[in-house]
Amino acid sequence: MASIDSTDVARPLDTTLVVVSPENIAFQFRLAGPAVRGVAFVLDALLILALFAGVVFALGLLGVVAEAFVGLFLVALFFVWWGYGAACEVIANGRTAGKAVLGLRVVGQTGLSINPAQAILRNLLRAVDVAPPFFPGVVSMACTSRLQRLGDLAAGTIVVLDRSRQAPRPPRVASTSPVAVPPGFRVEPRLMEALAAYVSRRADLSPARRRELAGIAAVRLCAAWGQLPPEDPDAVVCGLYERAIAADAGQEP
Amino acid sequence: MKAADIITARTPEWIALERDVSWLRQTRGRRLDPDRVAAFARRYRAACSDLALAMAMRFPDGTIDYLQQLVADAHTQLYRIESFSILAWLRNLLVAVPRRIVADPCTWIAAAVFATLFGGGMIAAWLHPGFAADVVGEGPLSRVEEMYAEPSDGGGFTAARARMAGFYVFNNAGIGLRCFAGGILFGVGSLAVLAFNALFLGTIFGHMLAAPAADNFAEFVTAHAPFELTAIVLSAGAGLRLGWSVVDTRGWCRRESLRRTAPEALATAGMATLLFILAAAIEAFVSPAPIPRAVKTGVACVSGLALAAFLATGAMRRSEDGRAE
Repeated sequence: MASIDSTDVARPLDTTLVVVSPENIAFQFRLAGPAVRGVAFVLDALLILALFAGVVFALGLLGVVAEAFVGLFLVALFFVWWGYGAACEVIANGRTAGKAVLGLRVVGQTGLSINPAQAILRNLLRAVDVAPPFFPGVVSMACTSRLQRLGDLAAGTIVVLDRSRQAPRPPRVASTSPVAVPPGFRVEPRLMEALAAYVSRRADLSPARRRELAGIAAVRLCAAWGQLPPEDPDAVVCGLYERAIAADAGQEP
Repeated sequence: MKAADIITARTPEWIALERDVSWLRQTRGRRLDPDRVAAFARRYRAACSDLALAMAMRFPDGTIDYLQQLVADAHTQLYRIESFSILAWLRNLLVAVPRRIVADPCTWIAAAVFATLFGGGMIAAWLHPGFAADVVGEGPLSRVEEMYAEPSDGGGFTAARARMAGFYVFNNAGIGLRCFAGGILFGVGSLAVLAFNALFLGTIFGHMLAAPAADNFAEFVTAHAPFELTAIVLSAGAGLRLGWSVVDTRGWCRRESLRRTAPEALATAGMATLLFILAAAIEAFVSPAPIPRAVKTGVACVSGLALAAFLATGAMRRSEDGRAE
């Protein structure tokens, strides 16, 4: 009955990248912006500095500040400074320590895991991306729809938000008193969207707030159906949502 | 069927898929249990259809967001290209990389710029005694003069040399990588680093060769010069290739052209870094060593010939390929 077309809902003007998989399903990556990526970069830089400061301090304590150690130290500094990001991203699947803390991950722009060449390339080119005074990487992020810095453009990668997820809670619906919905009432897509948004959030709302929000729709609907204003608007909205879902699943209640 | 029922029924499968994803992330590159991989693929397809259903039926936002993330993560793990073979890598290094370096006009443009500015700086410093101080600065110049005032120190392996080796790697190879990276700004960064270094080095060469310590200086710079000078030219050439791909796109859009060219340029920059490291080892351990000058000249000849042979194989392969076509 209620034919809900998902294409009539405009895609949000948002920092997401839609990828269509061979399974013909379109899913979204949430792109990470310059601010959160900047913080991750600073965290990584601090980690490297702390690591080397620690080594220097330890060597100083032990009294082994032989010049040969300085040489080894500088070679290590070179490889870690230029290779840390790439090594982390290859080993830990697109995450450095800083990215892991902030829930970021590097993936290819088609949604695939990155390969070593991509990891090395984007990390070498960071030298340009963070160069003052113009910070080409930030400019580039502002100019590209996928928020890519120059290293990302060359390597064909994007940085996505990959926060730890919580398994979805099934919507807890009020013990629905039967809603007297007139037969033949169609739930419009936009109403359905509002119902779904309400149902997924109602668990976090106080009873008074539920009354208020659900009342906006329930009072108008009941008026349209020629009924008295509902006692419990929450139950009306939940009932309508369940009914629409069931109808969509092909089982008329 | 209520939305809540569908979600409750499917959640165990989704959590199992989540576990599969983190399992695949950890076991990257190892042999995988085929049954579990098959189960993962099946769960992934099931999650795809769940997502389609959830979007069509307007499940709560939280569920759709969760499924979006889950499917995206699983997709990243399912479709990936991981074909790394040491043989292919070696073949690339020994055949494809030198061929590309020789065939690429960017290499020769970088070499020409370097040679011109180096030679110009050298001649100017040779002819006008004040030129070197203007370019390099009084302070640094007198430090360079001091450095070569005495013949290189005697003795065998000293710790100071190890320290210098580290410094040369950190400093020189770092300059090379920065030179490469700067190329992405339409090649301007690479050219700037290249031009600055060519002029700087050329001027010091010209000045020192006219100075009283010319012998010490020439003896010191001979051994590592072929590797180091080639390395800086290759770095800049790789950077130019990167920048030029944005200008001349060969039919791709600029972004795509850059993405396709970048791995090739990266291989050249990697080659340059290798040369910088070799040069640093020679500069630290051979150049100042108290060994006959002939040996140092020999090192320079051998390294120069090795480089020429490496590049020549690439050039020859290219002409063979040309005939075959």
